[in-house]
Amino acid sequence: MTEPYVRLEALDMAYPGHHAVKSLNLDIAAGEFIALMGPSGCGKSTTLRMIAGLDKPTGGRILIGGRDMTEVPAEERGTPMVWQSLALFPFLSVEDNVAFPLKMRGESPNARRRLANDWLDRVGLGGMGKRDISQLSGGQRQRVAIARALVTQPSILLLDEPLSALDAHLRVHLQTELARLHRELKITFIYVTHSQSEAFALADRVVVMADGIVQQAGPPRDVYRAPVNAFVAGFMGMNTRLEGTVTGRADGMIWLDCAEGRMAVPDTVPVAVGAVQSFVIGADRLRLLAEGMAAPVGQPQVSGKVVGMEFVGSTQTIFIESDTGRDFRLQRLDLGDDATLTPGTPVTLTWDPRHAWALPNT
Amino acid sequence: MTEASLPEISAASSPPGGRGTRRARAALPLLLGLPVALWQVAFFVLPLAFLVVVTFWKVRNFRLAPAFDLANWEKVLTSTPFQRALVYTAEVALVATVLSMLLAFPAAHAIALRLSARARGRWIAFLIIPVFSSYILKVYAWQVVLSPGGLVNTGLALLGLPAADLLGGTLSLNIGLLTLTLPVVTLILTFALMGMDHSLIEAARNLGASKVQVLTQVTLPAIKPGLGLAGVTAFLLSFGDYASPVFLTGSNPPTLAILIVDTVKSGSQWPRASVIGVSMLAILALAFVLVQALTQKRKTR
Amino acid sequence: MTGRILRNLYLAALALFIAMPMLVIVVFSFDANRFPALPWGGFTLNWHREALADAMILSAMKNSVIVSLGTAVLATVLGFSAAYLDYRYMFFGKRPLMLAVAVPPAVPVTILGMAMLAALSRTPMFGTPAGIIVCHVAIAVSFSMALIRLRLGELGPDLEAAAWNLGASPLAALWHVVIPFCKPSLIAAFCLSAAVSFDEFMVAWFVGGVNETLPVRVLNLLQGQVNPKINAIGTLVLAISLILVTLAQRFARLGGAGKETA
Repeated sequence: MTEPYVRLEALDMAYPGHHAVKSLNLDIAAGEFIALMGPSGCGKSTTLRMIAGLDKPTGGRILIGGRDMTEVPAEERGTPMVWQSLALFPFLSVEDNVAFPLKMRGESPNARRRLANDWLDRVGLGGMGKRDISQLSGGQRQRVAIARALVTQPSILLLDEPLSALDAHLRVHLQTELARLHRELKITFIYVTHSQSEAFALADRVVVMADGIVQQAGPPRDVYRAPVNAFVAGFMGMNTRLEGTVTGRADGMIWLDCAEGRMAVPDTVPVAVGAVQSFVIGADRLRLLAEGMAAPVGQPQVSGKVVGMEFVGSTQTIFIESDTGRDFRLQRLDLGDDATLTPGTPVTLTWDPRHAWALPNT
Repeated sequence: MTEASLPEISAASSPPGGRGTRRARAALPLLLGLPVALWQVAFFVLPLAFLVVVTFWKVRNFRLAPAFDLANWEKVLTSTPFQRALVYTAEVALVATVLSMLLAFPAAHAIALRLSARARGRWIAFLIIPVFSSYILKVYAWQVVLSPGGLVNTGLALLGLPAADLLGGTLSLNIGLLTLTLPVVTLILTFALMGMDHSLIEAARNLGASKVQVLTQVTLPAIKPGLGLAGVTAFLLSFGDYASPVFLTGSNPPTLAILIVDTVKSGSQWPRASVIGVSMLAILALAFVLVQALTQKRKTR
Repeated sequence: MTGRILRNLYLAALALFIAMPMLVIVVFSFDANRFPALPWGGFTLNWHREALADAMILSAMKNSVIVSLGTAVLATVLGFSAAYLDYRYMFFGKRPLMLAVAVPPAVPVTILGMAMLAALSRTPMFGTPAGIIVCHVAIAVSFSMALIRLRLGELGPDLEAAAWNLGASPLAALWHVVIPFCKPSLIAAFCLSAAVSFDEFMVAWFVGGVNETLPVRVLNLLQGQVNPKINAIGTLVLAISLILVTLAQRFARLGGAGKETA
């Protein structure tokens, strides 16, 4: 990475009885769309609030554009934020909400009106400037919040779970809009979310956090395919985890003796023969074998029974417990054969060993 | 929607109808409603209505006689003592209102937004007590403190300082009125500030508002209804107050409340006292409507 | 940091201003000086003794107890009726009724006193404790209804419906479910109504005639000579108010927790 635009140096936030962020280091490039993700309480929102200057870190430094911002008050940082609650001013019109930051800067009323309406046009709310906030739909309010944050042409935009209050349809719609805005503006977006799909759809790089610590940072695909630990693997949906004793290494694969049989995993971690090694398999990489069929040569074969199913649109998730008592989660397109997959149905699983991922030992 | 989820919607759809007759259903609300309705009508609405009626009556041989006579209104409204008292009372009430708002706001701001939940709870409990404890005694206490031979002056004398003339002026009057208004106004503003969406303050700072701008552009507009309520309450209390002007300024000059009490207690001029009372109510109603209009949420043009 | 110190200083000054008159009354009721002055003239219980030996004060005290108890009982019952009516039913004339319950405290007591005197002066209730009670109830019911209505808001839609579902008639549900649920707020309403009545002096002065309540006695003493007995009665009056209001707060907060279901 070249000179970072935002640099968080050993950032620390300790509340009495709760260490929210622990010595966090992170560099964010200019124009990057970065997503901070993790379960609630992982410290992602606190990190964002510290960048905005709303919470004062108990340790470390925040640099933006090379300038130390740690002691700079929130109102002088130029780090506008889009809030989960939106925090629109109910006593101001739509236009006055958008013009608010301009007014704070002392812009003339004419300039405020012109710029605010430019931005309202830009987010598809042209002509609605005189309305009351209460007259807008959820999606429209969201657009007002975005326009208000961008009207000062900041070089950075903070978004704190901005879409989580919206219904699924609107969420996807606004997601594309955010992506478009990022393309057009070419400014840094720092986006906090607990939703994997939002982060993956939008971000150039995702940062997975847990317990106030960055677990892994990288392009979504890398993090998804190569999680560095069991937490990230689980958070990414690689809930199927096996372990076995290393018996040897050959042809770029590690061979293991597992309760489910002899398994191979791509050789990506240093291991010693005789050590215990765990690995994960993505839910979308598992396949069911048709009854009576054997697995292709070189592929494992695990038998078990269906314990439950879930449908999300065109995909289905099948929960399977192996005969050895391990949980497998398999995701696939809806094939219309679910009638045969009632709980208790015996099934056989397989996967391409090249798609398994050995978890680095820490 | 089930009927249970909307309990207030209608009598017909809420409780079970017993054996289902309409009379059985109506019995309970009638049983509950009639006494309180009759009570408030008999002892609140009718007396006030009667007060209005009396303004048109006449006094003959020291006795009230029904009539429809505008003479009372004409006499009172054109009399100089009434006009003086009206202007003075309004002035006093306005000053007390502004003072109590100015003094209460910083305190309410600190209590609602800066103190810990525990300290906030204690403050609220502390502020409620004076609202419901004897005002007349507190006025007396201020007399004791401020009078020529009172605590302040004997204290000053102990220090070898000259005595101060504290009782009987604007200062003592406002001290008395603030005793009445300050706790309530602080409470109302505290609740208003506690009730506002606090993320608006953070959002404003995030969008570049300085502390002063946050206050004038966000906090104050956000609690506008609360400000209105606090102002109206302070005005109402000080406009109608009797004890402070009597005991802390010696009725000099008299306020409208003093005029009423004097007129009533002297016995003969009921209709004129009623005219003063009704005029006061009209002014209060006007003030209320005015503040309502000013503090209502903005409507779309 | 200096902001913090300034803030605390300001709050302390405000607290002192609000508490000052009450402190003065209590502290100087034990002062041997005939007229409260500095320096403190030594501790005495004389004024308390004198006050308790004063027949007019004793009769005022008796009247005050009767009036505030009577007011508290009636205002609590009527306040509950109004609150439940507002919570449960929709009917023609509801808004004016609720206004008639809520508005009285907003009318200056001087005017209220005059109006109530005008209305009562032709009835046998004029000049009796009963006359003061009916007027005080009309004022106190507003506070009582507000406290109970808040509690009813926490009742949740299901509890009463469950009682009906289990075969309770509306009256039985009211008695066995709603009233027990509202108990803390009923106690709070009782205490607050009693406090409102106990401290009210204008209406009591107008309609009470020769039957003085304690605050009216104070008012009349104030119009006469300086009298150290005022401090002594004042201490008692303040103590009773403080107890009533504190109790009301305790029970109202208990209701605010909203966890227990009686």
